Amino acid sequence: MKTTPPDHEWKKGSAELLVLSLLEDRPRHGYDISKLIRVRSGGALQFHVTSLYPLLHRLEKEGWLEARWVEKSHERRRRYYSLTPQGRKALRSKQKSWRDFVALVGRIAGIEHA
Amino acid sequence: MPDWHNLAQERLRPLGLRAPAELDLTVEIAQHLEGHYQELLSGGVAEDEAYERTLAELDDVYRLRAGSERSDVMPKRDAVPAGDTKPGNLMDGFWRDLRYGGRTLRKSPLFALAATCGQVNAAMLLKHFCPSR
Repeated sequence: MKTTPPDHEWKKGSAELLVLSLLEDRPRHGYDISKLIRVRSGGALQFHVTSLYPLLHRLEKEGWLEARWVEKSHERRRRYYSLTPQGRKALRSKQKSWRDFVALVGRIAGIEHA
Repeated sequence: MPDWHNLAQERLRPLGLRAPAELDLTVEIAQHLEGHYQELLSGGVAEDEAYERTLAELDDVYRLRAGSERSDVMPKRDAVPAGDTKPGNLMDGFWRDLRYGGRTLRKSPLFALAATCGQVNAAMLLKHFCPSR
């Protein structure tokens, strides 16, 4: 039987959480999302195009994201991604799971919250 | 300025994506690469190095295929592969096995016949030597 390593699942889950969180306030295009992840993590996290776009398209197919080609004046048309109500719900659920996981690790490792 | 659209198109073509998915992905990736290239240039990176570093984003292009949904990729052979272990109920598995058996029979009827005869013989031998089972 095929099994998926837990590490892969965590990476996948955290990548989804990052993307959904960055779209919470407003729609963004793929390059913007990738740049924000890189800048906000101080360069520690980077999404290559070969990981980012399949993820965005998968989230779109799951109904969590909506994508639209938008043409602004003096700019080329770009594909903007925004959260759907389902995506917002998924984000809440993922934020809660992540908080619970961090709290659990903190309790086991004896790390106090600031 | 490198033609990022052309470069992205060349890299994506072997993946065998369906036309609309490939077109969308090509435009998005080309824009992404161009943005990254411009950002490197404005950060003081030399043109050659910026080009190499930007192109390196497409090094592992087959991840795009792995990450693409099945509907984006043109099907090559059987939709139900042999030994498929997808979760499902018992009847799903039964029908899947039956379909696979039917296909195997069509492709190589002699082999299927020999396998069936072998199974019948094995069952008869088992019954002969272990009558209590």
